Amino acid sequence: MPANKKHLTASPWQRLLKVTAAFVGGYMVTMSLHLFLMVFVDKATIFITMKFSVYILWAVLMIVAFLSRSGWKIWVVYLGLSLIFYLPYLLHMTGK
Amino acid sequence: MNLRNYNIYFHTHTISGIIISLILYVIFFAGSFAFFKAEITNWQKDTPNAVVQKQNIDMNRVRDTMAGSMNLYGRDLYISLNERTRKMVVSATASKDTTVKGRGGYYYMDAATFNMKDYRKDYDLGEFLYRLHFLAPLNVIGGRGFPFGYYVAGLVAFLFLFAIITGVLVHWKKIVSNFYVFRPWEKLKTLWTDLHTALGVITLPFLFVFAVTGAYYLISYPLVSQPVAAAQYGGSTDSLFKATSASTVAYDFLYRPTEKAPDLNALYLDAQTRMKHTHVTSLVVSNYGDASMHITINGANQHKNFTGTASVVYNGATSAVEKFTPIDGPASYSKAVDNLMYTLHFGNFGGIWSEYCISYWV
Repeated sequence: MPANKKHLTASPWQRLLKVTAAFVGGYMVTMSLHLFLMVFVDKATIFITMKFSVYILWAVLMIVAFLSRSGWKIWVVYLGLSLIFYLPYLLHMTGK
Repeated sequence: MNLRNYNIYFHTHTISGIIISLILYVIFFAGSFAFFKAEITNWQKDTPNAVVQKQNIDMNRVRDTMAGSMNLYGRDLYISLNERTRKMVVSATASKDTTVKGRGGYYYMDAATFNMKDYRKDYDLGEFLYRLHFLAPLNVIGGRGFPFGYYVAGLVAFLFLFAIITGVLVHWKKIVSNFYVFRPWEKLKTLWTDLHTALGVITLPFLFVFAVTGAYYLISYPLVSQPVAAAQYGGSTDSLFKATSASTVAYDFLYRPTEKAPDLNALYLDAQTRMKHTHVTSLVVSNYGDASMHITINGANQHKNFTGTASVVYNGATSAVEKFTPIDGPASYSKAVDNLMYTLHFGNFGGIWSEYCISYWV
């Protein structure tokens, strides 16, 4: 009893977008979120927490990407979130 | 449950499972034996564990044997004891005094005969299975500086975590009722299906822990440590680890040799009486033979303290105790996480029986 095909993504482009969003996008959001927290909370504590939290959050974001309706949409969301979380660093860079 | 989501969980669970299955089989198989690395070595070399000899081991003789192959001045010496084998790891760093030649080295020493061998000479079946567990033999593909095998094993561990979570989501609704379903006589397929779900649920906590800690051990350096160091610690992973890890402190080297060699035996026995109810895991000499020499003796006991370890730090020149951390004291967050990751992955939280059970079930 394999999964019912009618509920799966048929277009290869959409599939490619979702797989890349899951792997690359999920990783970007995970890392940028932790880096974002480092700006406000003790960074050593965050780094120690990252030893386990990174993989769990990344895996969850992968599932969310596969659940999305459109590969484009999830890429936009993940890129947008990464940009927002990375904003303190970008401001710091341009401020120099 | 939403039918679309169910089918997506199902499909991603299937595909990720198929991708990792063969490699994961090798990792589980080798890992189940790697739990008993020490015992395999004892069996292969016919060197039964020497519990009593290790308790009263002549640490000065260990040091003198090491000194036979190199000038120890200014080096950090590490002598690690294993509860389950008489094979000790003895290693030395390069000297902080650059006029002392030699890079140091990594050796094994027999606690009963004081026979010292280098890594290649003492390679055995236990070590082979241990390294196969994280695909170290595949590292030759990437060449120097790119541990291909570790990264493959780490990605497999991460995809395994993904498969575990999607698997739970697929079975969530029937996780209790299906647990009691077993239809071996219906047809072969139902036998496999029922075993897959029931054994999956039983082993779930262990699998989850192995997937997370396994990914941490193998891919955290390039994927987490290096980016964090680049963003927050000026690109230096050294300063990142220095700021976040609770390992042995570095003492400033003074370039003033001490007149007499330290009596490591006295310190070893003294530490054992101070750190009651623990077994000594390692003896570390920092800046050997220098006025800045310090001796740290570490002890552990999983049943007394799950996340923390005990230690005594002695001043090398005066033998005075500079710092004492008892086994029942509170552990720092950093130390607790490190110990927890290690203990959970190496399965030694319940003594050797937890390892038997895990390797049998998983």
